[in-house]
Amino acid sequence: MIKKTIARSIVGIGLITLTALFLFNQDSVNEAGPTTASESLRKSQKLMNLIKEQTQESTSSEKNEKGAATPVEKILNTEESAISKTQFQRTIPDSQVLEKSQNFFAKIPRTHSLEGKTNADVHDIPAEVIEAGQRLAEMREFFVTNPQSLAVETSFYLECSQQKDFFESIKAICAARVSELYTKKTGRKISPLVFDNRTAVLKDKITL
Amino acid sequence: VLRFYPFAKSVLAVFLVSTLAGGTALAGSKKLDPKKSRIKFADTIDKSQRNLMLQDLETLKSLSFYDPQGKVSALFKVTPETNSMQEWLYARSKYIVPETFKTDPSTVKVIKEHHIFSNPELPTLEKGRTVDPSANIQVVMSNLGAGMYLGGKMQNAVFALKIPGQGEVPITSPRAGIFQVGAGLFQPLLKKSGGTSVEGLANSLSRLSVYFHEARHSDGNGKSLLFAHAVCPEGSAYAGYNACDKNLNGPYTIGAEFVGATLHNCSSCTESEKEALRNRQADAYSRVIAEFDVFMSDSDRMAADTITNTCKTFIDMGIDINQYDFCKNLNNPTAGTNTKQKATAWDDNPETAGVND
Repeated sequence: MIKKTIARSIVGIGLITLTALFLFNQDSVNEAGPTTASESLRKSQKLMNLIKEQTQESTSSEKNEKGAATPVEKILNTEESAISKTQFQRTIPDSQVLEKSQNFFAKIPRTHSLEGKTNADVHDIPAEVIEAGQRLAEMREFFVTNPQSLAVETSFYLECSQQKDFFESIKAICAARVSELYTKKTGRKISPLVFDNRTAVLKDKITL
Repeated sequence: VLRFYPFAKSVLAVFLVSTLAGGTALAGSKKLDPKKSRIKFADTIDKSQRNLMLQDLETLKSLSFYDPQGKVSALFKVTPETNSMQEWLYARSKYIVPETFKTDPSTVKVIKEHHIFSNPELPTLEKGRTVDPSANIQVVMSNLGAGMYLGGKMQNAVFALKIPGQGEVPITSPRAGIFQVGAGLFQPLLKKSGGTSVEGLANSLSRLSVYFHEARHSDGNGKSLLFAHAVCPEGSAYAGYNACDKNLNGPYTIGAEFVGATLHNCSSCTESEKEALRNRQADAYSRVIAEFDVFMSDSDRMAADTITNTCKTFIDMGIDINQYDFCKNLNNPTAGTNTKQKATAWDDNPETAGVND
């Protein structure tokens, strides 16, 4: 039973990534023109199907233990799994992480939102960057009040740090979180090559 | 008097700090006596704005600064104690005027014409994207005194500014310390999540970082006069805008270091507020152009995991790394290249016009 719960929770980790990918595709659609309500509904249904497929696939992977080690099994064999087991038992449902993550990637302002601004608009931190920071702050508050496994948090912040059209400050904070979580897990420093040059430099300047 | 005005106005635009749309609700502030403040306010300033600024200065009195590596003390050239940091700000900030204050013949006086400044050098003023006159601009804060000093210097003149209720203030150095504030300064960092109040500590720290940023424009001489901003390079979200620094001790670094030094000890800040302040800190650092020419020191590079090990760890954690480029080419296991830092710290000693106050 515990193992199943863990497996389901780990599926959630993958879903964050999937959701993000889905949303990025959605973004590119949005750039071409406005999305209608029916389109949004169809895409949401598509996402739900993806989640369903992913859940079923992971459950069957769990049953088929004779094959190569799955990421799930790998995690179960690590020291962290002991922490994960207890955390996942008392943690919130995966759907809540998924929803929060989905909301974050869909609504956070991106660099193109600065187009058409003047020098004066961007001299101090612009409203769009403040809003992006607010959305990241909401995720931070969520992770603090609803503790997740290292993997779930790392997955979210890694995805955030890799977004080419996120503001540098947001990518840097996310990269700083990934680095912090990585060191927490391994006791070592993360390779700076995970991040683009500017993000790698900026992350080390942030006061966590 | 009018002949300098358009010129001075264009100089001032360089130091205009941001615009934000929307109104600001200021309520429930504790009332403080402006007569006891070392920074003087124009009579015409909005009372609730004045009260918030007075509260910010009260907050500054009780802040403790975190400086384990001595970066703050090196940058500000003071020990990062509350009293020293206050003195740093007060040496550069003396008067506050409202957004409605106009620099025109009724407020500006030429106190000396054909003046020869002892340091004739001028800073390079880079021109970024121009301001659309039809744009809905709302001032956050600008260093009016420093802009007026430079405007005068460019025309061999020394000005004085008539501040309502405070009399005539001669502008004989960039340290005249006259600031203009607008409603944008009082926008909260967080608008949702239970509403962080504009009077709260986090918002006070955010505003104080703007005061420190602006105060830095009161420094410098010759080429470094006013620590003028530079056009941001390609690759930055602000590329093409005059919203970056080409030095390691300019206004953006000052603002970022102030946030970093106070954030660590902000025990009453919520996690959301801290993250929003980190965003302000990181945004300011992202405008320091030189920082990106430096990647990692040799010791840092040796201490870090290889990219191969990092990717293996992610896989072990169950994270799907297939979508990321950084794990696709593992042939180069060492971290990036080192290049020399191009920018340096500028001379921050303030010049003077060389006339009697």
